[in-house]
Amino acid sequence: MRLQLRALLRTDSLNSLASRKTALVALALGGLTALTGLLLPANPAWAAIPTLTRAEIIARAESALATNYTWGRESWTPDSPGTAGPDCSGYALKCWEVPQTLLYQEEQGVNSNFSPRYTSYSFYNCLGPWYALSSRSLLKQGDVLAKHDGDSGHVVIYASGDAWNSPIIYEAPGSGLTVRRVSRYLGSEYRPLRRNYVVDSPIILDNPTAKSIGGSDVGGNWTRSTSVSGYHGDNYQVRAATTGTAWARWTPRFPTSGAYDIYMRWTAASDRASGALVTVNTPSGQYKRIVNQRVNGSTWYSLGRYTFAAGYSPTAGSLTLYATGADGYVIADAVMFVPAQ
Amino acid sequence: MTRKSLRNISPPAPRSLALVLSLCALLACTVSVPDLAKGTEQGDLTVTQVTTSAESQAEEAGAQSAEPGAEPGGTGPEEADPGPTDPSPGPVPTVSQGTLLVNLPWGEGPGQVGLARPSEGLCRGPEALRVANDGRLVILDSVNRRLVLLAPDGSFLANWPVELRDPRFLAVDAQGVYVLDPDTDKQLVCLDWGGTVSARLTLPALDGVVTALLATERGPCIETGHDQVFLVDRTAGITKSTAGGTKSPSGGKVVAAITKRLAGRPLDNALTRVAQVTFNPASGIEVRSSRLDQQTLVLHPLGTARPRLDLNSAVEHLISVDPVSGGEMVIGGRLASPVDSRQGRAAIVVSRFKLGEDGGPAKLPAASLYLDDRSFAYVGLPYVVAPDGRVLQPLATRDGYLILLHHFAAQPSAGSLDSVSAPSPQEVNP
Repeated sequence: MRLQLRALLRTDSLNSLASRKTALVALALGGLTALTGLLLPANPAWAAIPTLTRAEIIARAESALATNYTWGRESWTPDSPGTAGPDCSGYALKCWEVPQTLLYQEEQGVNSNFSPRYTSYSFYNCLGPWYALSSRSLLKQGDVLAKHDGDSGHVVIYASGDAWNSPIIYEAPGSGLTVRRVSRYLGSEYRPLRRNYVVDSPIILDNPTAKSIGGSDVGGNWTRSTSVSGYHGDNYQVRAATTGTAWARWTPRFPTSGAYDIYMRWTAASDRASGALVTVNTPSGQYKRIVNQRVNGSTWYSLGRYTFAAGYSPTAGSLTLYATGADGYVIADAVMFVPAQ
Repeated sequence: MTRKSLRNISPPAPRSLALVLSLCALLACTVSVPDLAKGTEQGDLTVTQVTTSAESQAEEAGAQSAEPGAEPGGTGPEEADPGPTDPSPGPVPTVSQGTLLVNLPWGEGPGQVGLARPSEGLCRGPEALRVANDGRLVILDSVNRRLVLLAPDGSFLANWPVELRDPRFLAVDAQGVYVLDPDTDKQLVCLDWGGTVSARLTLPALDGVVTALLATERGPCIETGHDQVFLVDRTAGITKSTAGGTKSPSGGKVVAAITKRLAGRPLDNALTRVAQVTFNPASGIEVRSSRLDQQTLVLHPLGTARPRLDLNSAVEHLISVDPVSGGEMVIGGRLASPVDSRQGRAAIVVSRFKLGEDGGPAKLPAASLYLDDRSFAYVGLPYVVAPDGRVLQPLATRDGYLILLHHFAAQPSAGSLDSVSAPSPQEVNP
């Protein structure tokens, strides 16, 4: 309850009538909850969202670039330019992984739209697990900016400032246009917003980049699990050994060109693969590594140092883990990319 | 998903219900509605001290993303905005009202411009406006995929179709008009002043997002990230870069980079000087001027200047840097905290600087304008500088696309912002 109140009250623009009404309703609901002795969030989905790193949000945003804006859609096949993509709010809610109902799942094979969902109206009025920033100068990678004028609204994901500190954003602008990373002047009507449970960190991607949207970032049937403790984030993904296609890929957006130390994480157990294949995909080629997932669990296991170019490239700036041909369960938990000192 | 389902979410609670429920809240929470209202007006909301387990988890999980500005009286380290543009109490700027040059209705006919207004997407009108040396105006009517040519007095002259799916940038010079679609078709189209397409160039992959299309006598220039500028050969594609160099799309000649460190915007049409302009909220603006050797295309540093846009308000980011005739430079920025005044909301400051012998701008502006940014739809940059130094402000309303004219007024003393006033119609009407 308190979380919601804070999310609402953290707006710096409650001087609008609409926001005051929202705050009143929130306070009223909070009051009722307290009176009845219930200290649960009014909307359980708000507490159910996972912790995300900013790198994860950006990696997701990158995976949708050049897909086609599709009104009412919030799914896309990662790294597939020219295919159906999201609308603006669908793009943001997917990158933020903020479902409005607990029914929303992204498990393998589930690639459908859902209703109700958050829209630009929801983002602008802070009707979900996020809050308004008091100034745009506080924006960080992975935050969003939203506007809504009653009939129309837009949501964009903040990427960075350029040499003039002008905002570079990710957006799904409209019909006939593609999802893109652009520089755009954003007027005062855009409100800066931050998702709850977003952490600053090194480049850590929890589970494969696009969280199994049914697209190319996960091949084969991977399922989520929490059976063995010590995983990073909220769960890990697991795949039984197979002779068929089964792989998971992590693709960050590298902020600068240079050398990065790569670490991988899994939960160890005796039924795991003793020799799972990992490929590190770099501009200079593909490097193969083997990891024994029966040991070294729940630690950041070093895979070595590699050189990458700045930007996002699934083919030359990623890491792929294979369950194909393994001799046990293969665990896709998290990967960390640390700039070499 | 149906359109109806999108609209049906989050219905507003009936006012009466909210009021009844709020009484319950008064009994249970330490924050009262009157307190909330009071705090709202003062902009310093306080929050209940009740702590739940969910709250604790939230704070733990989001410790690094905590929003200091939302805390009671919060002025955490993130909010600090030190440096030369550190805000301090000062006069409220006067927002220039400008004079209406033209109002084009939304539509597809002659003298009209297109408006796209998706319910979930970017509301946009024309995405660029440029003024030729002779005063003619060119509007990039992106939605209708065409150019609209206006006479200096705003009267309609012609429509020219542009065969690009997503034209976003525009530049003009004596030879013609250039239109760039960097995202979808990734092409640059060159037209002469009769509207005939003279060249259509496919761009190679550029490092960074495109931030401007500029015109010089040596050809159009594409700027990325506001720090790298690629000079385009009209016939062979991109051949030279002030940053890193690149190949022509056909695999033609590769020209060595001039220098990566001294990348920058052209300061004149002849491309004899360029300026690398950077801005950081903490350290302010830095302008590194260089002379460009016309034979070798090597840059020779001239000097570094640190002009200040506004003495009383922090600047969030720069908007544009434009050379104007008479050896001056116009720099505009968006204020970090737009200021309300009786004339409107000052969100943008546009300052005119005299250039020194080293090519860099003076430290303090010779004159400044304050503009609002109340455009109903995205119209590209919120202002455009004409070659003669006038400032044009494109503005979208629900009825149409307006162009307002602003003139700089002399600024008798630096920092005396009240001295800037709106020009009279007689002053600005052509």
